[in-house]
Amino acid sequence: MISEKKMILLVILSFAIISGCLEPEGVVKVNLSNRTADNLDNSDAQILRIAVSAIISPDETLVYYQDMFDYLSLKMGVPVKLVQRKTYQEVNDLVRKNSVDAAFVCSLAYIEGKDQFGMELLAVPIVRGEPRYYSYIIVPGDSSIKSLEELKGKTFAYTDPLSNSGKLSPEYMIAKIGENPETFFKLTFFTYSHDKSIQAVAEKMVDGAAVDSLVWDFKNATDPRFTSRTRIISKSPPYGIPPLVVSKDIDPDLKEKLRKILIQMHEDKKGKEILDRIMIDRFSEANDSLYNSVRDMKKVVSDAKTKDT
Amino acid sequence: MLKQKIHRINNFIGGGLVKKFVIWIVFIIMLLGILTTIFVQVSLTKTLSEELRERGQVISRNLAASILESILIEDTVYVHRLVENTKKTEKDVNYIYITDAGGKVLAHTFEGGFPGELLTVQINLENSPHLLDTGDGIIIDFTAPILDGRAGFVHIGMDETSMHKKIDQTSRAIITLTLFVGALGVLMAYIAGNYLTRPIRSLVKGTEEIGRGNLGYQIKTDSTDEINILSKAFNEMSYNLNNSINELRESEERYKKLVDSISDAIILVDSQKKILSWNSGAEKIFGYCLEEVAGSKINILFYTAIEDDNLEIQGGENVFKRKDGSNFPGLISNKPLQDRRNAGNVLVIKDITKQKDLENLEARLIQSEKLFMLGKLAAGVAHEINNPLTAISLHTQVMLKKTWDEKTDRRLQIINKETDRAARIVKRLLEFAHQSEPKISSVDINREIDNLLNVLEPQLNGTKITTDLTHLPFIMADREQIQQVIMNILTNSIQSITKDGKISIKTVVKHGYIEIDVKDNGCGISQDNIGRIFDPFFTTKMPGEGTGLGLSICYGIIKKHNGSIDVKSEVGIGTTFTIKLPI
Repeated sequence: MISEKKMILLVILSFAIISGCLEPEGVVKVNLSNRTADNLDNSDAQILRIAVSAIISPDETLVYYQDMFDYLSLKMGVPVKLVQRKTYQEVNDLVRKNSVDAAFVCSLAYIEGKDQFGMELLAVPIVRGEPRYYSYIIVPGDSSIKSLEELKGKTFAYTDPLSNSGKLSPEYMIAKIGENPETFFKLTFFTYSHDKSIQAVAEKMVDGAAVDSLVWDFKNATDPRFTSRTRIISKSPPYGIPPLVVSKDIDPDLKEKLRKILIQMHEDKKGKEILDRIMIDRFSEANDSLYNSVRDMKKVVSDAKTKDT
Repeated sequence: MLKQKIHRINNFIGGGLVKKFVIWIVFIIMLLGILTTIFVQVSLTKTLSEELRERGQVISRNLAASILESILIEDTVYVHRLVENTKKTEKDVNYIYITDAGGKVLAHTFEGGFPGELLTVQINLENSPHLLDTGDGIIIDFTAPILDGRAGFVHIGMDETSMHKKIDQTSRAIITLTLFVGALGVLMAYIAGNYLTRPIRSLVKGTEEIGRGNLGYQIKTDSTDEINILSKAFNEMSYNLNNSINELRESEERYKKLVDSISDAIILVDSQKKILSWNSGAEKIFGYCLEEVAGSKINILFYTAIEDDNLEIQGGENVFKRKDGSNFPGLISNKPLQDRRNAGNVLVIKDITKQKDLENLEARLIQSEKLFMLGKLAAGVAHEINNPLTAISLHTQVMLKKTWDEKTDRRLQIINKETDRAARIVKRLLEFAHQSEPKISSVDINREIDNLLNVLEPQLNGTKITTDLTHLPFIMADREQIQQVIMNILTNSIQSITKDGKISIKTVVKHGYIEIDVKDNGCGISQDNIGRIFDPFFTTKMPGEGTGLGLSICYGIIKKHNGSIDVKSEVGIGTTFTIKLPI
């Protein structure tokens, strides 16, 4: 009798096992046939859009600026959206088309924007007491290269065609030593962000690169994984720091409100915390003359390029 | 427990060994097939499911990593291309869709719009992966965060359909294989079963042959296994059995001859006194053959049945009955079987008819001798007494002629009378003594009987006499003497009857003799007296009523005629006298 019961139990158990395999638990019923056509209207009516040029790579940018954007949303009373593009030029285009309300752009991109469609300065960050930064020429840590001259005929990574520290400045330095920036290197790349340039050098994908001192210093302080494997062989003179710009067609009230929030940000406890974390002292009023040195360099470089051709 | 189960199952299956063998083999193969199918289903489902999940996870993570930058820089074309490519290149991907951090769908692979329901379901569920039942099948949904979810999420739905198809295909293949192997198994089991049971079948045949009495039957065997040992043992058993049975038969034959050579009846009876067996001597004595009496009670052999079954049969003389109803005296001895079970007895019955006859002859010889001596004595005495009696009678006659006083005259009369009586006794004595030679003439016995009956009629006193007289030849005999004999016997019979008397007289010719039976229903003669009734002076009558010489004279007459006279009698029933006279 016992064995019969056992048999029945065994059969039930095996059925349970089989059915258990065939019909898993926690299944949620979903009807996939009710579909709605995609809404191609991508406009966000009540949203403040601020673009950030890929000075550092987009994902790092997101992390870097997240808190500040949240802070701005809070202060402005509307959601603030971070807009990114691959190249500096694309960001300039967004500003020109008024697709964004404000943008963090590179110094050279600002000069270009101002020249082309009247891009206006909104504010500049003050880092270590001044609104200036540098361009570093870096090589791999164990590289024998000690000067820019030695990089001749090597491979080199630029950041972006509209980058000051990552493109114009090294070209200027090459022009200064009497070489043609177009032909000085064997091969050049655009990495489209400074952290990627640092990474490329650290991984020895290229023999050298020019990077934003702000990025290198920030990375070296927060995450020296790659910077520790690079060595600075040359530091440029100071340039006007990459500013926060607006389109010339922006609503003056909005511009004023935004500028006020930025300039007073460090006075706020929470704002100060956020600024400290991204190693910015404060935001300050901006003066266009800050970028004159960049304008001079641009002229020298373009002369140097055209000289040979 | 298991054994009983198997036994019960085997009983349930029934049939021969081959059938059981085949059914068990098929059962085992099917069981194996089912178990294998279940195992493969389970393990394959597990393996493939795990693989599918791993793949889903890898694909979603890879996609999340590679799509990150494109999402951030809002390169929707690239995002779409990447998503579509991934769906095309990766197998089992049912859908892919990308949401931003706010849950807005950025890109998807659904044709004709995004199913909004999916979004609401996704929001409710946190753990990845989870299972969705779309109605067409189960989809495993994987969610991979892009940049920890800050940039959005990749959702990939992996289809289980092809996995189940694979499992189904495999299962079907196994089931087909199982059925094929099962069929093959039936065939093989049938062949193997037939092959294996062949020696057993020949053993069965051998057993049946022996059962039928074909002792010494030998099985042919060519195998080398246990069956061979069994077959050899069987053959040896068969051989030995044959020898033993033959020896037993010879021995039985010998004993039968021995027993049959004994002329006495040897009868084996069981405890219920039923006849089990007997020898040929018994057959000759009783006239039955064994088949007729086997199982019958021993009573049928006894003249007087033994009423009490429990009563032991007593050894000694007894009267037995043959098949034809005739009786014979026999000597019986009874011995219980010296058997453990004490199943019955052995009876030995010896026919002592001849001994009895011899005894009778001897008795008659003595009788004759006695009579002869008595006759001489009686003749002498009678002769001596006759002379004085003659003188007494003569003188008494003379004296009676004279006239005497009345008293004297009366006394003389008494003397005369008694003298006459004395003379009569003397005369009969002389008759007895002399046994005078018969005066031979041809006599018709039936006529003599008729005449006698006419004479006797007045004396019958209501006794009925019936006759059954068959035609008889004339015989040479002394008519007066024969008359005297029949008269004497009839008189005795009439005298023995007390009331409602019946006498039957029967005459018949038998074996060269005329037989005269006189049967009455009188008081009969006791066993003690029956041997003495023919003795002279033996009488059961009161003194003075009979001389005791009547039957003695009859005996003498019949003897003189070379015949015989016999008597059978039972007290209270009647007596039969049988007279035989030669023709």
